[in-house]
Amino acid sequence: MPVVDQAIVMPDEEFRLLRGLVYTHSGLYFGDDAKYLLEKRLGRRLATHQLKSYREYYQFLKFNRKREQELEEIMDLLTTNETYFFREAYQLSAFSDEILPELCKRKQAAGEPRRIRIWSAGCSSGEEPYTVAMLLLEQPCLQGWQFEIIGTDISQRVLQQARRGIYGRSAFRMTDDYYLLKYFEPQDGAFRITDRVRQLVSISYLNLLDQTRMAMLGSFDLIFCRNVIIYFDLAVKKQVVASFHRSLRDGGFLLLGHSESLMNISTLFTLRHFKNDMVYQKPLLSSAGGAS
Amino acid sequence: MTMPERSSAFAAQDEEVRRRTVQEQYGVPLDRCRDLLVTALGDDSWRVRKEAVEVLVASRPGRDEMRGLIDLLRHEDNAGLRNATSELLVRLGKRAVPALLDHLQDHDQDLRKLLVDTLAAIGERSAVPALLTALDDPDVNVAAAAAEALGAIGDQSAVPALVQSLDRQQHDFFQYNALAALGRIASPGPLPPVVARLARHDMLRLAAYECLGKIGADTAAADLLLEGLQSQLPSLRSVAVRSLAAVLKHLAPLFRQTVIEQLRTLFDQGLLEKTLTQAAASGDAEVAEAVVVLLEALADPRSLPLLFQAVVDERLASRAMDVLQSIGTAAIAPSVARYALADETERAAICTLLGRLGQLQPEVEQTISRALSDDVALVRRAAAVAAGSLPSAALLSAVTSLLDDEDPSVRDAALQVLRARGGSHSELVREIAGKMISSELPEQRRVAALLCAASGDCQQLALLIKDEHAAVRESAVRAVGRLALTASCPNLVMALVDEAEEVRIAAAESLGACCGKHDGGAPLRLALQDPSSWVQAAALRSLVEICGDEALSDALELWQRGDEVAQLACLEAFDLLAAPEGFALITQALGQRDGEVLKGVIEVLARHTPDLLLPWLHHILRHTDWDVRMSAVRACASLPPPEQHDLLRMALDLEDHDLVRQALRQLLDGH
Repeated sequence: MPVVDQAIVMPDEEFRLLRGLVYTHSGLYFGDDAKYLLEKRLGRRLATHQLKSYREYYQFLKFNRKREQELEEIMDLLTTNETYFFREAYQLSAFSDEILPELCKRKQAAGEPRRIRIWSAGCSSGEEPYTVAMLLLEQPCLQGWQFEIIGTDISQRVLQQARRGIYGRSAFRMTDDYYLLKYFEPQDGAFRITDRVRQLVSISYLNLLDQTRMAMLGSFDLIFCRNVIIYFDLAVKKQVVASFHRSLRDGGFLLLGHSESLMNISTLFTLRHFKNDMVYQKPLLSSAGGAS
Repeated sequence: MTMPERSSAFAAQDEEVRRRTVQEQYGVPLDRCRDLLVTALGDDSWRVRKEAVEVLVASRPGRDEMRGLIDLLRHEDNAGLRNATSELLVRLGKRAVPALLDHLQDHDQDLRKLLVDTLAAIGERSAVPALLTALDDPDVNVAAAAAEALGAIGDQSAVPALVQSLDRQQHDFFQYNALAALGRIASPGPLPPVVARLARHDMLRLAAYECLGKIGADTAAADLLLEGLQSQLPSLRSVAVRSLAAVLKHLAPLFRQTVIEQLRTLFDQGLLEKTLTQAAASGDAEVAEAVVVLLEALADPRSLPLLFQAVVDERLASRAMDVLQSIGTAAIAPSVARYALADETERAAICTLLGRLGQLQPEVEQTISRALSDDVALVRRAAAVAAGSLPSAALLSAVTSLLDDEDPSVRDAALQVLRARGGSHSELVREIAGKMISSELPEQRRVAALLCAASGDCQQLALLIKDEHAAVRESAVRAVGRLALTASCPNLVMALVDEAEEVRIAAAESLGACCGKHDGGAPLRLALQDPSSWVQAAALRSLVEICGDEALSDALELWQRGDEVAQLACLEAFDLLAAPEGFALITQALGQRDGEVLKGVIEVLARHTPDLLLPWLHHILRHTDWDVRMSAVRACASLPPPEQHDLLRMALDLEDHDLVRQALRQLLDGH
């Protein structure tokens, strides 16, 4: 019987070369213990292009005129991570109950426009930016304010899902029925985010190493970047965090994943101890474009 | 800013101002900012301390200044200062080692301990003799830290001294660290009696088990760990599982079989299942992998639940699936029984297993049939692949419905299955292709071309080769090549001038399979002038296939003007034709920088004429790209022993890339 899906072994040498290509393109770093991941996820690309070895695939990625397109495919395969609405509830409590009221008060005291911009960097299929939008809509002190939430990711496939805004049951494992009923509409056994939430969120492609496109996004009051920098090595972490610093307004907040910290990465941010969580903040004193 | 201004700025209350003041000292000579930086090292704010460390590292302090820094470690009342100073010394690395060694006999045991920890973090081998002496430090904390440091540095010459110290130093804390260090650096071999003794010591059992996993290679180690599997403590059981799996790898086959029999007895007595279940759920990836290794040794259907649990873990999936397959037909009934309650990943795994086992039983057919219409794409895909491996026309027919599945990976799998089975079920596949040919969607017609090729339907292919959509024409042209249809040669020649590059590439590739020297040679030579290097490369490969040695002059000419893609095809040609003219020509490229072509040249010359390569190897072994150096190292294997040995030794002295060093060592050991 003919065998479909036959596994091809990835030699160490080709693993290092492919890892290097992915790193140069995206900053994603795969340690030696993640070789299985590259082998398993890239294996299907060999079948698609009818290549017999990872060496051929490496040459394909180096020379083929469709290499950019193929690298995007690789990003889709390598960055696919499951997420869900209202993930890391304690941090979202800090966001709603402590950070937003503080931001609101500070902007009012300074006579700044009643406007909040938030960036969800590495937004995957959109659960995070839509969660943030729902929380903003629920915030009493922000009635009448303008909000803008930008969700970006390097995987084009997840961006399509994010723009579509339709989610299956598993995305709601931590979602209170209150939000499900108020902000979603049933559609073919799944749930579609309402237009009221959708209009607050813009989804866009972004490689976090791309300084130019990042600058085009403008400045933010708050950046969510949860469970993203863990995939970078130290040099890229430093680069990305310095970019976040530039993109944040003075006194803006950076919210990382629960296992992530800026220890040994950057001294540019202060660590704020809120009741619900610890959060990094760009010091109020620093000027735009700040020291890095 | 002047120094007084700096100091006053530093005294300011705001943390951000202090951090920036420290940052401003970058590039200032150390003698002008030392006091401020030392103050900053002990600042209340971690941000200021970290910034001070960065600035001091950049200032490259000398040995005398380092002595001053080491004295800061004596400040018992400021933990921040001590931690920041330790970090600074570690960051200074090798340069700090002489100053650290100067203080290892200091009267202050706390300082000695901190210095030993710093040496461990730096990891410099020159510290090993001093650390061996420190194993007998009168303070047990210092001695234990020295053992830990030796483990961290990883110099195997420390192993005998560490083993002896286990007998000499009776303190549990020391022995714990020394066992851990041995586990890190010793090689598998006969078990030292002192380690076996300590494995029965309650306080040290965990460390001893860890150590056994690294150094155990005999039944003495396995027996201790089999005992450990039955421990009351889950943490001990987990470590025993991990270490036993490691020891199994090092056992001779006969002893290995004995240990497996003992494991099986434990399984039969109900003493193993709970241990393995808990270990698999421990959240430790290494322990979970070890569980799979032990299950692999047992190959027992009772372990199915654990194996399906492992299949869900991407890291373990492939190995766990192999183990499931090794259980054989005994795995079918329990797998099918699990399907109804399984989650999506397990449902997909069950399909994969049933496909791999290839046994068409009614319940298997029923399960796969159900899975083909699963809500989850992952399951449908796995079911399609399984259906392709089972001798069932009904299942194969059901797969056709997935050709227009909403998920591209499912469509792709269905297509692959039908292509793979096109020979054995040609009627069915032709029928499907026939329906798709008349579709208005180009993608459907593209798929039809692939299916026509799979079922050998030449008539339909002749039509599709003239389709209005380039992707369909490309697919049909490739299909013609795959079928080696000589009658299609004129069509392929026409396709060489198609406006779409993909079609021209496919035509150049297919001409080699379909046409002879007389009808294919001339058009392929013209295709060597195509503006696309991919067409040139494909044309050359086909020319070599149909014209043999007569294509050499074409390859020689293309090499001179082609880009990397064309040159890689030329290298294949010189290799296939074993052409001395080609070898002489490509030798001129040995000085060039581009990696892939250079690697190809090295490989071809090493295979055919190493003497041409020899004068260049000194130079290439110093190439900036490690993968080029790796090719050069492999090429050295084709040289006569004296030259080979000298080059390898020279390369090893220069080499800093771990993979290349490993290859060099292997060659030198073989030599």
